[in-house]
Amino acid sequence: MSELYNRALAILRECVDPDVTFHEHQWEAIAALVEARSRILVVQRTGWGKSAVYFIAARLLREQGYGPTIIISPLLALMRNQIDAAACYGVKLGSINSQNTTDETEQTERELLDGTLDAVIISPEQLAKPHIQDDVLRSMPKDAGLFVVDEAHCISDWGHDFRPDYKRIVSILRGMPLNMPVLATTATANKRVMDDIVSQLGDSIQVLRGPLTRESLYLQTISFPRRSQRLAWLADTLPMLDGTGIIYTATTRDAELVKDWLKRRGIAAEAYYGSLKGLDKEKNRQRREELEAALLNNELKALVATSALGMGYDKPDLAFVIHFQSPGSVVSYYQQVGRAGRAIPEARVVLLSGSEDDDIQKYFIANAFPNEDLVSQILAAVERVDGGATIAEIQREVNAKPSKIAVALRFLAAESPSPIVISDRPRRYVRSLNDYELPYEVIARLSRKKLDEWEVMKKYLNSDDCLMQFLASELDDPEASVCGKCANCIPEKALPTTYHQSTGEAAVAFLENINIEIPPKRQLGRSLANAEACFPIYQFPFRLRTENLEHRIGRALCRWGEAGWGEVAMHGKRDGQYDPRLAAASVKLIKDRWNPEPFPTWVTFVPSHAHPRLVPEFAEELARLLGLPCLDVVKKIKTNQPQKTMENTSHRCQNLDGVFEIVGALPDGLVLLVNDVIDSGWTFAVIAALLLRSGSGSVLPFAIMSTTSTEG
Amino acid sequence: MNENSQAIILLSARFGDKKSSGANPLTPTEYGRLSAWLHEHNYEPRALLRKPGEVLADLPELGKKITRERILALLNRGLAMGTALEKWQGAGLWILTRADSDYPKRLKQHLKFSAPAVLFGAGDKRLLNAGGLAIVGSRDITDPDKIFAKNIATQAAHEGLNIVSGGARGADRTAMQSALEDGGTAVGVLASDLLKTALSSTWRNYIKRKQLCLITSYFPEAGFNPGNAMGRNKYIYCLSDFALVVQSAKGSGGTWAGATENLKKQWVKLFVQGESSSLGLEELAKRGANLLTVRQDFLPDEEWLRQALEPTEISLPDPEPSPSMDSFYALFLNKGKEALAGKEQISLLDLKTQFPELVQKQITEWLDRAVSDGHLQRHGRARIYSLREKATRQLTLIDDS
Repeated sequence: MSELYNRALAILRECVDPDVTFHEHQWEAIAALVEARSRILVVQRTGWGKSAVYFIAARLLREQGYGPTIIISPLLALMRNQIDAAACYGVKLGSINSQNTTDETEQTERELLDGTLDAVIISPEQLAKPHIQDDVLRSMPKDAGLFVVDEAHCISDWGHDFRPDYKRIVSILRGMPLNMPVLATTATANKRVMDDIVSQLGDSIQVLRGPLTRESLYLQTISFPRRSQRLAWLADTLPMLDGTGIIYTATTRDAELVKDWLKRRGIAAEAYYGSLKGLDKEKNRQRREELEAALLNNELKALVATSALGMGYDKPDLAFVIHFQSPGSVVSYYQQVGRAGRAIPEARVVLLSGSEDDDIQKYFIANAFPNEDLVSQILAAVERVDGGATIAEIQREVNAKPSKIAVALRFLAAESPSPIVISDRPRRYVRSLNDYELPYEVIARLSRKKLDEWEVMKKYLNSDDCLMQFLASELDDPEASVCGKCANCIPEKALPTTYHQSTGEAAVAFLENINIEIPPKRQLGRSLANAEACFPIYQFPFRLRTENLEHRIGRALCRWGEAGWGEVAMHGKRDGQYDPRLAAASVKLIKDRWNPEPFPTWVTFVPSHAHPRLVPEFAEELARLLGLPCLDVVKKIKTNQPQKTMENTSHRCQNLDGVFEIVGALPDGLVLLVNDVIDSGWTFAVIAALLLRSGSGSVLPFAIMSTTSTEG
Repeated sequence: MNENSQAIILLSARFGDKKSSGANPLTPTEYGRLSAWLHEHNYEPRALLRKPGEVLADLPELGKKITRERILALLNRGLAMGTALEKWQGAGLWILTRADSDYPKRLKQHLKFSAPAVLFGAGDKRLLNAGGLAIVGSRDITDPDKIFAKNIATQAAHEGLNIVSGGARGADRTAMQSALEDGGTAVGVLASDLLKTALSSTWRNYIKRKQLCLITSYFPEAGFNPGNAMGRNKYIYCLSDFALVVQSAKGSGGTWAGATENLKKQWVKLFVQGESSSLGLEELAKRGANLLTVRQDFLPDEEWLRQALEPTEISLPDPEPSPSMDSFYALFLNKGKEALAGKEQISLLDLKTQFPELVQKQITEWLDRAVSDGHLQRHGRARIYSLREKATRQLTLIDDS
């Protein structure tokens, strides 16, 4: 026994420091896995050193002749660091996740197949791929020596971050014999979650738990209903804080917004989220690594991030974590803030909450699970095709957003028993032999639970008691006690909740003047075959540019329902008439901020049978203020479904085919094509193409409101 | 899934095309030998998962290729098994091992230790014990052959007789589809591609309606190879009560090999198509197969097929009371003691050769009884016995019979 201990210690010292010793529970964990070859759950806060445990275990097992260690982890941050850390322990580590380039994935697979890799980190989504399971994991010369499940709270229904892909992991674990050692780790789990994990991984699992709270955190909550208030507060407060940190937002759009604002105020900030705009996979990953490193090295004041910057990112001197919007549960909040203040005496943690938070959370909750109707449509579409349907075939049959279809498929594939079987190359979905019904009770229970968690979060926001004690007791930390540091314990030490009036005004103006672009559609759908199916009447070419049928980049004044013009416009749509101030504001945007060159010489608009005067009146007023003629040249010759009910490209295009026609002589010069709302942008694309085909000059689309989600 | 089944699967099943962890799974016969040895030493298969070192420490030479290293390599395939089971069971397939009570009885009866250790399947397992009529034949059959197969299969469906076949193109598929279309049941013993076949539109619905059960002893994603095709033919015979060859080549091919093996091993009564003449069918008839023709003179809903298959129903009358179990036990004891005459001890293996008609379980039951009755003495955990002197009791038992 002690021989193994000495060897483990030697490996640790080789890497870290000749005098270092194991933290509490580290040796117990290693021994349980390597010697007893048993199963353990480790619940320890970030920074405790779980990777030391699994890398040392991996090394020891390899020395004993076992196969590689398989680590299932969703972490994307700092993969490079993980590889270096592993190498430090003498472990050759590879990774299989969506951020890899094809070359990197192929290399990792090759090394697994020829037995030279000692450990591999696979993301749960990649584990779902038949190719990975069949051709890689089942074909290794030596089977896995150890199976590690990181962020194990994702297994649990009762956890804050339950993920369908983790259900697959549980199914795989159930099929593994007890002679396969398993390590499950998490830094956030209350008792109920822990009990659930234990029951799913097998009662024989041993639990090693340490304290989860940190001494160095100074917690605070501030309620600011309007985004402009939060932006102003950030601009005035950040310069007062020592050190560097993270600002979390709920959406990627808000991350960009906050970043733009802070930069404008002279604060060094960058935005970080899942798929950075306009970059391919390789550049994306590089950029993210650059940003992670920049924050680590304190080259930035703040990184404005979505939850994509979460798991695995460990900056010892993280001095502040500020939330721009509220997360959905106390436990997920703690997971994001728990990484602050690891190696410094004081870290500021502030939760700013706004009036949109309730809407955001209710939206997430409502869309967390696929609905019954969508599921039966998808299964019917899949069953119709012998040998399985591709995503494109499903989208043709089912009128739903591609993202919703993808989420539903992922959910269904992870169900046990599953109604679908996936095959790869090409990816097809086949109906399995199992009868299937949506687990209504489970879904209802989980939705109820999420609502309850949100209520608890709101309590935290409004609490007058010690904030740290509140969080700790939600986590069932047995050592939960009054902290004496938070804004409720010592209000004098809290950060001020005020900002300069001028900053406030600048923030309001900033929000009003955001640039919303309308990009052209480059191609009709994913493939030539799809394209031909979309426009049988108009017969547009697959790439519009080939026949000069693309419009130029256009503009929208505001976003539906957002503070400022967005609210005014939304009411106008409901009332059937637009406030004349909107035309004036649009003219200002077009002439001063946009100022396209060359400038349009005439104006036309998108017709509607349902609301025949709404848009024309606005367009005529706009044209009058611009001093340009307004011509009614676009006619609607067919009635169709409201375009906004069409949820994917396939359906949107089919719904527009043959609907419009251009009538009358067209003047020379560029034309401003006006509509009140832009959603997917296909109406603009189709009408612009028709105008161009009829000999018009370049087309510049303009809309009052955009309802475009980030998906477009 | 219980640990015993897990152990059996680890030892006997393949999870993919490539050899995972470099070891070849045990063949049914190899597993049989290992299983017998484990049983003799009072180990259940799961002991190999819990304490492999201890169990394998005394492993003798069970056969050239059944080595400790190979067994350990096979047992260390936990991840491969976990992912494979997740995929196959997730799709709706199930697994039966020899340790399961649902394992088809006929396979064990006919093949004993050569019965496959693991079966993968889809559909209603109970059909595996339904027996019935096996219908086999070449892949390339003529139209008259097809009509014949269709007629017999349809009649079988009418008479509630299950069809067993191989799922291959030609005679197999014709027979199975005809029976299923007519509301009958069928069992398909596949040589390859269980997963794909079970999910295909041809068979899915019958499986869901519990009319069809598909099984294979090869892993569910195995591709076709002629060796496997031949290998599985014996299971088709062994699952049925009678077998019919629709068409066969002479001297070569899977159908020929299967039919001649059945004749040699006398598993089930063999029939060949009566109305067709081919060298293959003629030769099989010469070697003992019966002729079967479609009876046109019966009304459609009259049952002639069963009669044709089992013409003389000898229902055994019961004039004498069946001998009591006790007298069998006494017989066993006597014979056992005879075998022990002049020997120090006797093992279970020895006794099995003495009593080939008895199932092992019966032998061990009686041995345990003999020990508790004081006739025999057992040596530790191993099933090795020697005599114990208790002459008077022995005489009493024999007098009772």
